[in-house]
Amino acid sequence: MRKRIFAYIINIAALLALSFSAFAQGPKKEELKVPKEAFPLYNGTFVGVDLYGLGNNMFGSSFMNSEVSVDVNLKNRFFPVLEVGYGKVEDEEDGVSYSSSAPYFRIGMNYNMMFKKKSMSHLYLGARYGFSTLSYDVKGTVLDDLYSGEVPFEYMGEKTNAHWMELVFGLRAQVYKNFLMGWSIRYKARFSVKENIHSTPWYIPGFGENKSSNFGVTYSLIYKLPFKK
Amino acid sequence: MKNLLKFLFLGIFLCSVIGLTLTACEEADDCSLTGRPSPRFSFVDKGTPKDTAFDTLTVVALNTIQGDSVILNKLTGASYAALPLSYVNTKTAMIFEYSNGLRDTLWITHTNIEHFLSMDCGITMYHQIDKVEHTKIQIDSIVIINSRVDINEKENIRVYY
Repeated sequence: MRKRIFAYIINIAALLALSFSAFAQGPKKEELKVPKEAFPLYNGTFVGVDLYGLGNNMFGSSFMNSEVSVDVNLKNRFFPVLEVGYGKVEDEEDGVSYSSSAPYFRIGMNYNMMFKKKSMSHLYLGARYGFSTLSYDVKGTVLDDLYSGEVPFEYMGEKTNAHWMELVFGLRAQVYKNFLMGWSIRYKARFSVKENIHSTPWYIPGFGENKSSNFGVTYSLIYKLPFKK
Repeated sequence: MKNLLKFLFLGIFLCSVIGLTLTACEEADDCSLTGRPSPRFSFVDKGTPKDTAFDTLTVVALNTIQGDSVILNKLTGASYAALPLSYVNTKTAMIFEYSNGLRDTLWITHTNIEHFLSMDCGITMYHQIDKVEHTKIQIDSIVIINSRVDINEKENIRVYY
C-alpha cells in the first residue's frame, strides 16, 4: 500500500513537473514563432523609375515611355502599387504618319513570394488595371489602284480611351543601402479601346501596340524612402 | 557594390534576352483581311430561295484606270462575289455578263469612309451602300442586306434572278 501511495505521489509529481516545464517552455516556443510574422503593417514606401521604356527608344523602337511607380510594403507580403507614366510615338511608313503622346495610369498590387525573409530583395507576382485617355494624329493618302484617284487623309486630335489589365512577374534586389533595382515581365490583355469612325488607334501609352495582348518589360531603379518604419 | 554590378549585368542580360524573345514571338499584323473591303454580292434564284448558280459570270467595272476592267472573269457556279467600289467617286457602275450573252448593268451609290487601320496595314476605305439601281434583263430585284462594307466579311447585297 505504501508503495502504491509512493508511486502515486511520484506520478503526480512527475505530471506536475512536466506540465510546469511545458508551461515554462510555452512562451519560449511562442517567441520563436513570432518573428516569422513579426512584420508590422507598414514597412516602407518605394519609389521607382522605369529605364526600359527609355532605353527601348534609343535602340530604334518608335515607342517611348517613361514611368514612375510608388508602392507600399504592407506586412512584407502585399505591395499596393500605383504607376504613372507618359508614352510617346512618332512613326512614318509608306506615306502614312502617326503621332501621339499621352499619360497613362496603372493601379494594382504585388504579392511578395519571399515574405518570410526580412531582406528587401524579393520575387513577386502582381496584377494591374491600366487605363489611358489619349489623342492622336494620322496623316496620309488613300490610293485607288483600280478606279484611279487618291483621297487625302488627315485626322488630327482623334480622341480615344483604353483599358487593359496586366499580370506581372518580377524581382527586385537591394543593391546599395536604400537603393534597389528590379525588373518585371508583364502579360497585358486588352479590355477595350474606343475606335473612331476614321481610325483605329494604333499605339496605347502604357499598353503598346493596339492588339488583343502584348508583352512588356520594365527595368527599374527603386529608392526606399527613408521614413521611419 | 558587388551586388550592384551583379544585378546590373544580370538585368541587362535578362532584359535583352526577354526583349529579343518577345520581339521574335510577336506575330506580324495580319493584313490579309484588309486588302480592299468590297461589298459581297450574293446571287439568289427568286423561285427557290437558294443560291443560284450561273454557268459563268463575268463582271466588268466601268471607268477604271484602264477604262473598263474585267474584275471577275467567267466565274463558274458563282453564288457570291466580292466586287470593289470606287474610292473617289460615290457612284460605281458595273456590268454583269452571263454565259447566255445577256447583260445587266448595276449602279451602286455609296459613301466612302476612309479608315486608318495600323502602321502595318495602312489606310483603307470602308463604304456605306446607299442605293443600288439596275437593269432588269436577267435581274429581278436587288436588296441591300448590310449597308456597311468594312473588314468584316458579310453579305451586303442580294441579287434576285
